[in-house]
Amino acid sequence: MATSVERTTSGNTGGSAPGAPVGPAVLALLIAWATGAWLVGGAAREAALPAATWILHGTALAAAVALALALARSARRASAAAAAARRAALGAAFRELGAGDLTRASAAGRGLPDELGPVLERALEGIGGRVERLQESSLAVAGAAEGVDRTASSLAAGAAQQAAAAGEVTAAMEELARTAAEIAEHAESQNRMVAQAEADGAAGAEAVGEAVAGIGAVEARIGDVTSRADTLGSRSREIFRVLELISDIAQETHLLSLNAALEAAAAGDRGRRFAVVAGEVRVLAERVRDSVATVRSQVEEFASAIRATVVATEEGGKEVTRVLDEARAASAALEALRGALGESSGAARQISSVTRQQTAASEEVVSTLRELHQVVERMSRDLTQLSGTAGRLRDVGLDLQLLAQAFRLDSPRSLKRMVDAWSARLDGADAGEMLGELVGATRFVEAGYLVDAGGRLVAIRLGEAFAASAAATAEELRRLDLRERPWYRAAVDAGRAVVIPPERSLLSGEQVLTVALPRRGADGELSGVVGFDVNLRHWTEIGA
Amino acid sequence: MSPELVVVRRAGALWGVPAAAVAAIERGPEGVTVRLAGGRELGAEAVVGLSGEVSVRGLAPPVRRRLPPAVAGLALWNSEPVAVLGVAAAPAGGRR
Amino acid sequence: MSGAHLLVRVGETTAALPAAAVRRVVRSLRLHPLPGAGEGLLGLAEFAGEPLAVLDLARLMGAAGVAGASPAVTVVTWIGPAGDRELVGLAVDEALEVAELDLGAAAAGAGEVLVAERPVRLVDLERLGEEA
Repeated sequence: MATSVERTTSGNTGGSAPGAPVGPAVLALLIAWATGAWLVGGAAREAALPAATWILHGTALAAAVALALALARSARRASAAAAAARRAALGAAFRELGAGDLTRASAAGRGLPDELGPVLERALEGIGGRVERLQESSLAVAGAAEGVDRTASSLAAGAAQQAAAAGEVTAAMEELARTAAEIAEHAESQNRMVAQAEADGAAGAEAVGEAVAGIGAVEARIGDVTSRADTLGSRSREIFRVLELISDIAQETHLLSLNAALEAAAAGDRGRRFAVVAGEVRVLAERVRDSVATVRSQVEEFASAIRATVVATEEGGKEVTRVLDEARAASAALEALRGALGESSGAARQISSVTRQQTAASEEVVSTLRELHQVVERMSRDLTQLSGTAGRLRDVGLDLQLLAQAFRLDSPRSLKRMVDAWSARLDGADAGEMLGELVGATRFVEAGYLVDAGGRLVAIRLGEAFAASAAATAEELRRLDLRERPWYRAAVDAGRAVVIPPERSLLSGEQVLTVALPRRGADGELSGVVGFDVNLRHWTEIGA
Repeated sequence: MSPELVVVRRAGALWGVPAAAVAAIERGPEGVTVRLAGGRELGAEAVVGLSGEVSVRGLAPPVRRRLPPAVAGLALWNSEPVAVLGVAAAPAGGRR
Repeated sequence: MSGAHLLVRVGETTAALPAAAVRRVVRSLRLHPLPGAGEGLLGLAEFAGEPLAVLDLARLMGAAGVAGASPAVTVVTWIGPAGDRELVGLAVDEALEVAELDLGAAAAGAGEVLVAERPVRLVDLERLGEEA
């Protein structure tokens, strides 16, 4: 597009040849409008900067008006012969001006009379100064915008990362809160279980206590029974002794009765009645003996039963004592268990309470984090927007730069002047060596190349910062016919230095401006084109 | 007959030897030896006493037949029965 | 011929001793065994200030005694032919009663009568122990 602008500008200038005395004024107006239109045309792509456009427009208009008035005054005083020479000089000056070459326009205007020359010079100076400022300020704008873009992009990326991190932390905190809630629930459930166990334990302890008391009573009864059985045992021993005595007496009585009977028998008839008594005594003694035997056997049975009872009771007593001991041990164990349960219950309550607090705290943190997340996301969006705006601002700055670079000025910022100077140094020198020297002198020139009239690459030198990545691509260029490249055609068509709008570099992949200049031999025939790719990022860094 | 008797304990029983027939009583390491007139002798664990005059009862045939041949009669000394040896027929063998 | 007799139990035998020869029935006297004594003589004892030989009636009668049972009663009685009697103790298991026995109803030669359907051996104290 910049190429077409160049061409359009050149065409306009070429098509407006000066005519009538009013011509200069008309011409000035025409130039002013043409310049304005050119500027507007260049800036029209970027509606975001109408103010800058209108400043340029206004400046050009004012210069043209002043110039027209001066021309009108001088025209009235000029003679016809001089007028022709003046017209020729003026025409040359304006052609150069139309081509944007203020240096040559000024040189062409030196032959003009006093009333025209200085005016033209001042106008050119005014335009040049403004264009120079424009070159510089657009560079500054683009540079600053680039910086803002970079910073905003970096911040946006950081914010996005922060938002992602905040999101992760939020998720983690939510998980933590959920876990804490679960723990609290478990602790409460445990607490309920412990309370139930505590109640059961209390009931159990009571039951065991009752059992212990009951068993104690049984033990006492058994002791009672044992002692009574012992008493009975000793009583039956007494009974045996008495029975023994009775038995003895009965036996003695029996023998006495026998002896009595013997005496009675010895007494004959006289002893007969006595014998009867002795017999009765004997029978009585025998009955006593039999009774004693019966009683003895009964008492023996009774004593044996008592002995068995005592033994059984004593064993029962031992068993009861053992059971009592066990019951007491069980009771103690239950008490200990209840104590432990109480502690456990307290711990569970504490856990529950603490985890509830933690849950609440976690939820607060989560809610805060969510807010933070939203803020960061908003910030990220704003920063992205800012980055976009800064990017557009940088593009506008670069467009302005491109517009300003349409002028060739005696300024270190003028790329056309630079390429003119560099092209001159190529004459008579080894092209490759000189290109290397020139390219190496700046940081912003990505590549310098010399192409012959046949479109073949004669020499190419890459900037130090780009050589590594672009060398292979540069070699490929040697096999191509480069005459159809926009910069080649634009330079040949314009017959002077042209600036090609930014495009992606085949070498670095970054945006470059190409400044191209046709070269002619001693015979004036086209010998080739020299081009320099200016890396915009590095170029704007000069302005920043 | 109511002799005085030397009463000795021999093999758990009391034996009486008429004092008039005793020549000597010797104490040995395992008891005593009662030497009788005529050279016979009687071994015993101990001499337990010398009775005064005691009544010695004779023996009916069914009893005599069942007592050792040297026993000539029975006497009572200190409420204990004593087998009284006939002097002419003291127990042979003598040493327990 | 009839007379009062003391009935005693010796082992499983009931024996009848003529009451006239029996002086006393007492509990077993304290026996002093005599080494070298022959069978049937249990030992010596004291009764009423007299020395006494105690004989085993069961052994003398040839009756079956009860193994291991020591006689509980001693019958102090005269034995031996008239004119050469001796007071002895007869060890028996039990003294039963004094009863009038109708000896005429018994076969005197068999030395046995029935008392209340039970056979009772008559003991001839005059000749007791002679046959052994």
